[in-house]
Amino acid sequence: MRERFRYEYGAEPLHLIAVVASLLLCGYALLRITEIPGGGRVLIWLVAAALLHDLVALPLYSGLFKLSHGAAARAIPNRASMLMALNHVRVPAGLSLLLLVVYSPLILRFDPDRYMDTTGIGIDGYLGRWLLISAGLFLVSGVVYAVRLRRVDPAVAAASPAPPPARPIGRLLGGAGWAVLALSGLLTAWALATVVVGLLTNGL
Amino acid sequence: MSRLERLGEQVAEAPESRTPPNPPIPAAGPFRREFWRSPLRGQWLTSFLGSTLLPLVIVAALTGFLSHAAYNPALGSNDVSGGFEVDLYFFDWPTQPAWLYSLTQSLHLLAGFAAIPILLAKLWSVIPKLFERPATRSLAHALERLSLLLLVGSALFLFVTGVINVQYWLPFGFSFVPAHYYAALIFVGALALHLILKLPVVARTFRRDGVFRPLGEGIERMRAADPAVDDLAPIEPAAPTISRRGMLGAVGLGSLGLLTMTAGSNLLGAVREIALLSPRGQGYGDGPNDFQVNKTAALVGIEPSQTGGSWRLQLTGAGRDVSLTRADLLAMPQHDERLPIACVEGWTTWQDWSGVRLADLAALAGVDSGGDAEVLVESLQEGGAFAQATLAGNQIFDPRSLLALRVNGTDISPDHGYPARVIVPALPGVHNTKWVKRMTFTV
Repeated sequence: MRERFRYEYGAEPLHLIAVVASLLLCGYALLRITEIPGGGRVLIWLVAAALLHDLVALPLYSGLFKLSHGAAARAIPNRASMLMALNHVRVPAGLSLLLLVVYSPLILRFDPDRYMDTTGIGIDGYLGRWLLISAGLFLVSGVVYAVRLRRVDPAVAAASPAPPPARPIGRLLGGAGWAVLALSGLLTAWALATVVVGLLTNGL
Repeated sequence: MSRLERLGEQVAEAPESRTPPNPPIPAAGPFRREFWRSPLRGQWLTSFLGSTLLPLVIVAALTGFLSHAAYNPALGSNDVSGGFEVDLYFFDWPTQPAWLYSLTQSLHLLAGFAAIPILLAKLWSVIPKLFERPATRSLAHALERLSLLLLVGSALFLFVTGVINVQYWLPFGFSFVPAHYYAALIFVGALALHLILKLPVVARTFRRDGVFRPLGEGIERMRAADPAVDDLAPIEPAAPTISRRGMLGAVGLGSLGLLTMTAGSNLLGAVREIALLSPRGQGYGDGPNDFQVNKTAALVGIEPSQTGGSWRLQLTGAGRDVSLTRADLLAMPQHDERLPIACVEGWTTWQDWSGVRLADLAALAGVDSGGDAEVLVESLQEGGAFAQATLAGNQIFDPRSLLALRVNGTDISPDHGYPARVIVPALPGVHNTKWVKRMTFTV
């Protein structure tokens, strides 16, 4: 009997009981969501959140990491040196990106009027502070990198085999890496310009 | 191996499952397991991230449901969740200690923000599973995947809505509180199943690989996990570009960063300056009324004509109606209390309030502390979920509960609720009704 059940269902009866109990509780919550104002939108965003993360956000950021790897591999032949340099750029860049995404409503000023109406003060300053924090992250990372560079034994570093010559796909990746770099440079310049213009117009 | 322990892997193995191999459509791109090459992935990484994440989501969930209880949802129209029939609420929210709500809500925000990078890393570590083939091996497997969609969807939904709500960006067209509340219920239901199925896998992984042992491996010594025994391991691992501990360190730095931004605006009021990006990290100024405002008088449409000399406080009680001017209130015994406004958004501000005890107003309305009293406090504010709040007996008769008229030695400002506002210890910020016009006591 148990064997037959396992054959038909794919797991023990206890598994089915646990799954059904869990899904019924979720079903109750979903039912209540349909009854609240705008409930249909909640259901859409519940599914959209998973899809947008899994199929858009995750490929995007892991793609950026791969591009940065490709660009670094072309620029620095020695693998150990390349990885150290790469991670001293990737980690502060990742942290900076995390802060930007989490605090984007403030940094990118999605709704300054509501912020002003709710808190009684302006939404200014977040972009500038994010840039300063990011600059600090890169500065600290750079200092640590410099200290580690002095400690690396040049003989060990030289012993690492040189990478094979770049294939066309590698060149493509490298080009894309430079494009990303140029784009982020432009964004930084734009952000700095916004801060400067903001400072000038809001009265220095 | 115990029954329970077998549960997790039956689905993974299911050798006698009757579903035939998928029709011979050649798998392509991410649907090929060879596509996923990171040598970091494996059961240990996912187990370690999951074990770090679990305490944080437990704290966030418990404090979240406690916050619901703090609104005393059984009273009046306090329940803004849309009416949860089988409410977990079965006690009157205490007024002691005064910082109770500040603590629970700070923990909610701290745990939630710190969990974000860990959740993202954990989802990254299991992403190959999304594309696994065959898509469903059995009914058991299909139900599990449905539950996982609910788990991932509700988790991301909770974090996104929570994070943007505290930054006053509400673009979705639904009300935050009920959406966040019921999404949390889905999350808890799906997480419970996930724990039943996966904790045995975590335990076995830690027995096999050690809990911390892989943290000792730098990038030179690190090896990819064995795909023969590890369903998250890569089939064709690429050379590592960072060690597992390096990646976990970066994730930890991210958590620490978000923790710092959040902590600055609540638990550690004195070091608010480090909360550089927190929505309430900015200073207001040095005046007596220069502290955090939640919803300005202009936003909710309070006109100066309503709060001037014609303003009256209407008290209704046991067959008695009383109308008081602000001068009448100032002529009553005044009491000073240092109490916090603790907002659901995680920030807290302590101020020196001065005004009339709610207990004295109850007595004026003919209600004494003997009964099971309640008071409905209504604001001049028209409409909105928090234009009124109902307080329980323990809150009315706590001697520190005030109808505040002054703060820090001066009249409270229009944005803080002039002519009069409620301030009750341990009460969620928005229930400390501002611009009070009527108080209806019932027993």
